[in-house]
Amino acid sequence: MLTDTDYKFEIQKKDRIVLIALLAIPMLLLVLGVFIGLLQVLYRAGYIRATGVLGIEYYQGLTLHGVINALVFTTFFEVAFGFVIISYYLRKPILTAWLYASSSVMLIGTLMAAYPMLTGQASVLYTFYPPLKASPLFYLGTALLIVGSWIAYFSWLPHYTGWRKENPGQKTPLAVVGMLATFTIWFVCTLPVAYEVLVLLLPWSLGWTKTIDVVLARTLFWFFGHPLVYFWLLPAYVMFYVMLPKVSGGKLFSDAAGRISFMLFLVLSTPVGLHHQFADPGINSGYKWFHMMLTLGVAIPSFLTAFTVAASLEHGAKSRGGSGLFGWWRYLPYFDKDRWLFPYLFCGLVLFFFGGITGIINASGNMNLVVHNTAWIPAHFHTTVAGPVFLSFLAMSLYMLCRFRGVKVPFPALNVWTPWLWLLGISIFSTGLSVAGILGEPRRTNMGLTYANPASDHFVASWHMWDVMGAIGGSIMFLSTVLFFINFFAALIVKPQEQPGELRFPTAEPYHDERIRWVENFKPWIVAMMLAILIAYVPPLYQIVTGKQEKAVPYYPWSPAPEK
Amino acid sequence: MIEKSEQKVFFIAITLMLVFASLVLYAGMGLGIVLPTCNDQIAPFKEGKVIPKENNRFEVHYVAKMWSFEPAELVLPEKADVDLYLSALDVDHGFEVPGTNLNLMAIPGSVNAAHHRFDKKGEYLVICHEYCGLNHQNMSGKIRVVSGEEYTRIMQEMATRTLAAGEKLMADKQCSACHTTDGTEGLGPTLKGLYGKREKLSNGNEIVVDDAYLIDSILHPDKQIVQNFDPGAMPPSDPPLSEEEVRQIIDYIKALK
Repeated sequence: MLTDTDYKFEIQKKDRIVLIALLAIPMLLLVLGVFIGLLQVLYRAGYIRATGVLGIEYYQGLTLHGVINALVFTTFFEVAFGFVIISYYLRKPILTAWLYASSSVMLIGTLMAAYPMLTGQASVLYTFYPPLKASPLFYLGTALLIVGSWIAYFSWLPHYTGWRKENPGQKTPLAVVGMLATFTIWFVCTLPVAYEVLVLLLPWSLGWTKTIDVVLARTLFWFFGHPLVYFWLLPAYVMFYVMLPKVSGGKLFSDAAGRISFMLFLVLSTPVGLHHQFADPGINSGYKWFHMMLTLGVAIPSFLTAFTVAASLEHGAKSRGGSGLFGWWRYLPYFDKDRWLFPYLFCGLVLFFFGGITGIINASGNMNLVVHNTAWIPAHFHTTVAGPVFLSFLAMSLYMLCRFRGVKVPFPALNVWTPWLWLLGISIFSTGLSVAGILGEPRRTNMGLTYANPASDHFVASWHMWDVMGAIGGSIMFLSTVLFFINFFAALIVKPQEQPGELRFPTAEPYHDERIRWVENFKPWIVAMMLAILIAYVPPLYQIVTGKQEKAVPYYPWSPAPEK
Repeated sequence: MIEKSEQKVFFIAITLMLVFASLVLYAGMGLGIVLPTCNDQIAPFKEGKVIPKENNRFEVHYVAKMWSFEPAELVLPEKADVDLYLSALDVDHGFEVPGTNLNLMAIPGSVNAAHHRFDKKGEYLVICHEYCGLNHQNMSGKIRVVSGEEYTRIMQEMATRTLAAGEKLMADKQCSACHTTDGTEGLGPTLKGLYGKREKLSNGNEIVVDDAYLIDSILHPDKQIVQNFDPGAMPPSDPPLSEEEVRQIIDYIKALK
């Protein structure tokens, strides 16, 4: 079993440069992304009453916030993390040519998409629903970002099959299983969105085709849009299973639970997308109910994870001297500067508890009628993607950057407080937005001009105090990211004190190390995944493609007249 | 096999999800809180409409467009049973009425549908909750639910208001100079009892005065002249009348029985 004491792993300089770029470039963009996040809460609370500030129009900013934070930052990080995890745990070299190819395609795509977003030619939000139309560069750019990440995935597969051949009868390291599950889901679910973007949207935005089937485009988007959530979440789960038990001083409670969870996610994370379309016309409600049931099913591996991680923490705490039914909670390294991964991952877990519960509420179609497209939704996903995902990605970005450059965390005290401040901020922010959402406040709306403006006919007084809460929470979140950026960018420029490129991941040993053969092999689970997708998506897609809905002509966001 | 406590967690998680699933199914089948589905009865429409039916039932056609709803304000009597149909004219829109289960997407090319009974009096906000372009934040409407008597009064008032608007237009545009409203003779046919009357035209055809004839004759006075009246006597309005103004005039004519 691989432990972190017997193994030295070194990353070559030529690989390090690109890996550092993969972490630093999206982090620079993220500065803009989170700053726009701060602006959002100020608009929502009515502190900004304008169509835009600092040259960024509101919906242009919202598009940037979504695309940078949720697509660019996450994809770049995961490609870097994936390259390192696969090489580290399989003891294989990084395939430099593939790393370069993948990174440059992703970077070109990002720049292509950034240009129209920054010039206001793609204010269509990160869901880019037609018939609102963006510049063709935006569609092409996002497609390239995705294709770049596929290249990374393809380069890991021969390492995996090679390792399996060289190590017959051995369990694949859990972190590798997690990252391969993540990118397998990603590869499969990006196929429909690639079809939407390249076959439906791109020719349409170039004017080669005149009309588009909106229901079909939306369905293909959400075919991708929900598994996307697991693309974000599973690398965080890798850290929860493999690293968190170790930094808390203990062992992973059950190795098999991790494997079962990753395999269940493989099967269940994709055939659930229609739960984003409960309120849509043109789709038979029977299919919606079916996806709803599968969505409840995908909560099961998360339950299992929550329990296993909590049990692992208990083991860690008790190894550190804790005892009793609840007393052991006091024995965890909440503020330990040397084990600073702990507070990041732990705060993420706390948020994810709420993210899970609100997610089950959203998945329950009837309750969803109350909250669909209200402020409740961003309140929910800020406790998931901006909870465990964001915190663990930030932590691991800093961790890897320090190792790649051979530096220590520049400001350890700030670093330990960063996740706690984020937890505080997001708790306030999400409480405010959740209540406002239940009261009917819409998401994705420049509230400052109307609903949050007492001078407007549309002013809604009952939402106001909850939006003020959102603004307070959002400001604390912003402050927390400022603390993080100070550490990250300082780590990027300070002089190396140690050997650059020497890397070790904290890796927990299993407490229960059961062998369950049927979760140690991807093949049956990939077959099950394909079957589940076919059953869940062929009937609704057939119904939509043969349906009688009329097709739509393009519109730009600034004009109610169709594009000529 | 996996560890005992993990097995228990597995069992608890599955049981919990089955409980949630049954509650959701009960809410759907037992309480009738259902999701929008395919709708084949009504084709996508471009005009908002309120069609009163028997027994306090209403069929309402809502059009969502950049950046308003049609009807912008809907008045309903208490306990109105509403079959709501929703069409989008241009891009995706949302339709949300806080305080109710009405929460729908408006998608161009398809018609969405929902049913709601407005049991509580009061003013409801209709919100577009899907981003639909730069003025999205301005896109909202109202539903006013009033008592039965109040509703009848408002409807009468609205009818009178339309009639008054029609009468005023007739005066402003100097229609009344030639068309009397009391049945006496003028340069043009009297408007009293005109609607639904059989008229012989100068070209020998016989017609019944209906909406189509009136619209045509208001906009193109010389096209279908009633026997014994002179062509060229009535100039078309300049600037031309809007569709709504024509409607108001016709409603006024209809009321002159």
